[in-house]
Amino acid sequence: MNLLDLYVTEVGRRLPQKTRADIEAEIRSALQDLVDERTQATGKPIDDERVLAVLNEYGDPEKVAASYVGDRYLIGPKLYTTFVKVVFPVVLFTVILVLTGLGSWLFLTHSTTEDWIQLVAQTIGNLVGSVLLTSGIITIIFAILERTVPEFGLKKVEWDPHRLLKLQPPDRIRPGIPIVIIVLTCLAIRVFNFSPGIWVGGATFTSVTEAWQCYPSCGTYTNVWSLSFLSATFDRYLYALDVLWGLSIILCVLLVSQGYWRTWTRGADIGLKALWIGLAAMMLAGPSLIGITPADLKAAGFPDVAAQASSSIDLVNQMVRVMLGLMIVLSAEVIVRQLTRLLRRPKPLA
Amino acid sequence: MIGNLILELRRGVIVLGVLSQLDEERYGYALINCLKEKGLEVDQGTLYPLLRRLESQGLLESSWRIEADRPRRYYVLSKAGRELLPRLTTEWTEIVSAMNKMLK
Repeated sequence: MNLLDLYVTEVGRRLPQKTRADIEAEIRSALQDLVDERTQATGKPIDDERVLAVLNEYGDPEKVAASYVGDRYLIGPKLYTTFVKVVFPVVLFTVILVLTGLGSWLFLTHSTTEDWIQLVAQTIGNLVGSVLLTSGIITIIFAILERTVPEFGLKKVEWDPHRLLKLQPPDRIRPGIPIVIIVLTCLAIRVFNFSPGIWVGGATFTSVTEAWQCYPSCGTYTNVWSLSFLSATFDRYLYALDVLWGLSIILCVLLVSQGYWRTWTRGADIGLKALWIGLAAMMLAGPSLIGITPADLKAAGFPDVAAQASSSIDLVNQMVRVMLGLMIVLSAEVIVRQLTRLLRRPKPLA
Repeated sequence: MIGNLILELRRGVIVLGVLSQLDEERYGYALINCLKEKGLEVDQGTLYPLLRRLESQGLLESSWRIEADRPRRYYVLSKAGRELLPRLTTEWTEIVSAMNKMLK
């Protein structure tokens, strides 16, 4: 990514998503025209210093973005980046909280389809309400700040295009992928640490009533069993998995908040992927991670299921191994890609 | 303060100046040069947002074209823009005439 791209990105990240790509393309085209004019005027190939002079002439990215946004927006370019950085984690946390509640119920209970539909609909309602409330409050706070901050006389740091030279990241990070990773990782932590068994039946023991209770309500239930689905071997890997999941979440949060790949975050990603490869290789080479056996099912009082379960358990075992293999390949691909980006020099300007 | 007053005065003039030069298709940088040659200097940070605003108001149309391996956005008056331009020109002529009388 050259200086022009970095500058355009600096403007673009202060613009609303809807118009961002179009305005970025226009600014890039306009800057290229200016650069061409300077090249023709001097008769010399353009270098970084001349490009920086052009960017200085074009102006502070914040002001350029403000000229496109105008006064019609509730939160302008001055606070837009900070607003996104604040509202995003808060909304994300809200979503994770509500989804964790739904996930817990789904894993801990065994109810009818009607119950599921009812709960999912209720969860969607709660989710929309919670997200609207939290984001609304934050938006109002920022809208007030937008109109009052200049009165506090905060010192404005003069924009210097040379700052672009200090930026190492060649790529902007779209927040979608890190968010998906965060949500899935949170769910994985929840599932593997707190719901490792299969609930056979539809009830759980509550400390409040000191009795077995069905969710949401399915009458009296007897013969409740919990079988361990994963093997003791898996439990030995769980601490390492938790550490790697935790590190992955921290990295994703940093990526979302920074908006760019930086040298150290790329390095961290490479290190993390290498650890994932090591762990996946150990799990692949070691004993089976699936702990449930036909004998367990038979002992639990399900002889019919046990008779047919052997081939299914073998299939699950194979699937787990394929997934581990895929994980190794994909992680290796990420390492190669990140190394390539780290070693690649910025493209010379035309 | 004086700077703001001059900016305010120029703002309306720039709109008319831009519309008057877009009876034929031009891209932003060419339009800046065209206006400059005729004595009206407009910086890029003013022109490009203005072009977008005029387009959103339906007075201009735009299209992207690839020229010398580079995309350029060309602007031209829309039908509404062509209808508006003579009315704005008449208005401007009357204002200039009135102001000339007042400032003599």
